[in-house]
Amino acid sequence: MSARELDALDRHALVMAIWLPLVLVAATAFHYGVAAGGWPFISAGFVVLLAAFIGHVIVNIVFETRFTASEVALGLVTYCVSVLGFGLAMLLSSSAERLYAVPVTLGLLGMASAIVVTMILWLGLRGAFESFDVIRRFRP
Amino acid sequence: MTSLLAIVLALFAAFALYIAAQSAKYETGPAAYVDAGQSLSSWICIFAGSAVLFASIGPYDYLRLLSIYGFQANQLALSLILVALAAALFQNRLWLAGRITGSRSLGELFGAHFQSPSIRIYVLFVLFLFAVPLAATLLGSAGELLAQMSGGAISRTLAIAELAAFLFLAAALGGWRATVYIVAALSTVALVLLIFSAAFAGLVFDGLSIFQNGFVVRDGLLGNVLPGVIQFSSGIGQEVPAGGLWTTTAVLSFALAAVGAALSPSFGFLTLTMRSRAGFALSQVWIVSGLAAGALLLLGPIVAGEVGPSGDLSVLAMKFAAYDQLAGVCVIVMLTAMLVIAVAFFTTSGASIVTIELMQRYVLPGLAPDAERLAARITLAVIYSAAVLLACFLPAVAAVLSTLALPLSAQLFPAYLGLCWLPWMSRSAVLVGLIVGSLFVIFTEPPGLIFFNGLFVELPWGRWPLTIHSAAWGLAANVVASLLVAIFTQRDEERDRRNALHAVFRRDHRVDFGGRAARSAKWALTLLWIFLALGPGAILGNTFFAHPVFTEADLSLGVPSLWVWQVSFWIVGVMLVWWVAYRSRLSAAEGVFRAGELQPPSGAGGVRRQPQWIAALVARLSERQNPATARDRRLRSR
Repeated sequence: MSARELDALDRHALVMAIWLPLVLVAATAFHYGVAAGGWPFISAGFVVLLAAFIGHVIVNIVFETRFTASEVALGLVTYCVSVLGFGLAMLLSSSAERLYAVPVTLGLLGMASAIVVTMILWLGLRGAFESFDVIRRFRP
Repeated sequence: MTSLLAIVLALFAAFALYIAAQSAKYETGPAAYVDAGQSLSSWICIFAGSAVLFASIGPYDYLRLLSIYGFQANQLALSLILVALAAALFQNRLWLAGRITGSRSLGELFGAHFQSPSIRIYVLFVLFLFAVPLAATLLGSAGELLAQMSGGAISRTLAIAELAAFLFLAAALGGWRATVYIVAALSTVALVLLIFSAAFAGLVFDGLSIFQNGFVVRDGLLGNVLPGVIQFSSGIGQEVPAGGLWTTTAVLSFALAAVGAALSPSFGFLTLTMRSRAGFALSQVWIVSGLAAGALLLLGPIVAGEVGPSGDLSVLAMKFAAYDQLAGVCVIVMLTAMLVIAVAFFTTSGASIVTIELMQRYVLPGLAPDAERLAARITLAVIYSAAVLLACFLPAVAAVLSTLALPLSAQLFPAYLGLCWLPWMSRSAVLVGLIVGSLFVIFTEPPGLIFFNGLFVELPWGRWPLTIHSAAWGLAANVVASLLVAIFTQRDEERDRRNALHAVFRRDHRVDFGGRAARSAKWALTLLWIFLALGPGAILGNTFFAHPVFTEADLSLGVPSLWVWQVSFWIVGVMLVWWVAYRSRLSAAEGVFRAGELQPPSGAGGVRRQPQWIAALVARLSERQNPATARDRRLRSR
């Protein structure tokens, strides 16, 4: 195996070492926040996820890499499922659960902002925009 | 909670197996199975190396002791600074010596430098203590915790067997690389969940009140102060020290025992398998002395305060689970991770080192890489089987033998000094020191006491007499004996060989202690820090911030004076380690080296001579197989 593949494996293991505990902590914060803790714990859950994301970005900087295709796919799917789930819960839930609408909405927006800010810092404004410019790719 | 716990643990097991499978898939070849091709990246040292040093003071037992003894046991967290100082002193030069001489393990290095198979055997014995009895004791604790928390759904034996089976599978599949990846991940799990537990306890059930109200300890124990500089007690098992065990002398001597982790063959092996030295200083300064010691000092009391004087950590998980089931699971995962880090690390490194130093050198020299991997897997299976059997059926034996691991490892201090700094430290000096020091350790720990009391007469002392840890008794005798013998043997015929390595150190890797004044300042400040943070001077901390000296006024900080003293000396300690590791360039990663410059023509570790009796035994066993093969051939031909 080449040194490059070994570096990729190193990076992968490090990324998992960062996400593994922080996802567990975030899940606990959300669980307790919804059950009894209220908005401070839900917000704390998003802060923990944000910390994990920042850790991931730092790893990318240290290893001079970008997010891999599978990481982007996993992140997008998780994010979309969360947004969809949250939207459905808001539509179908009783009024009591609307108490969590503000922190969860802000949290989800915060995560999206973090991703956008990272892309701008990384690729510049034009580069970040071009990443979403799908039509351009289909031009002959 | 049992099903939730089972799901989370299953996810962790799946992660371990996934990482192991990835490591096996991408590893360069079977030769890299045992030592990861000596190409582990520096972040591994930052995470996994720090976790092993963190595990040296036993965070699980630390929380237990904290809940029983209160803030006097919190002083033990400062041991990590001494451990980091020891790592700064030796880790860089050990790595360089390994590269320069082409050695793959600590035993090979010591064996080649001192030309002594006895030191190799000693290293292997210490390795055995870490890999089997200590791992068994930790596995037993983890199994007991999981059995308790499952409410009887799984037995202690089953929990131990399952934990060991997953750890074995991951290590057998991915080898040394997979194990250090898993240890690194577990270290972040333990640290993050410790921070989370403290935050949860502080926010949900007012855990911060521990700093105002102090620990609830049993009658006769002093929860907020150190119980003296020394106590003239006969030792544990003979006499109970008044006010608690953790006198300043006990704390300092415990710190010396904790240094044994940095000197252990397994930690040395991790150092030798790193690709570069880039992560050493960062790990020693910011992770071990900064983050790990700080987390224990600042957050340990908040978490342990919820346990109560019984010291039963399952109470902690129950308390968290009463508020939130997942929070309870987090606590159990944290405690299990604290235990499993050392189990995974010491067992797998044990298998690798035994393969290199015993199988490849004495039993089957010239093993092909494929066969070496098979030998390592078989050794790993034997080590895990022994650990599981001890943990399940002989926990008392495991506990008694495991007490020797750290103090006997600490006895390697003069050998490390000889290898890294003092060329005049001769083989005889190191050997005499090891023998004398080990005798002192054995007779101030349960194995020696039980053996002697059972066979001969009752000894008038117990474990750790005068509240001095066995490691300190052993080291004192060891250092005196080593120095005395070194005076007479420093000009022996092996001196030229030892000088060669030190000449390379002087040529290419000079440390920068500065001028005479700076050098004196560094020594003086280090000794002063040890005296005030861990040694007799720490007794001042009992009242220093409550009833300051030179004034009649009393202060009311709202927290125990001792805790403020501990935090102050933690901050000073981090600066001290930074000064030593970075400014004095003890852990500097710069400087060129010529790989294999001093490697003997016969290969790393010198001439590989298979002892005749082992050769005869191997030949006899292999001959026995031949008739069977011939018989098979005959049967097939019919």
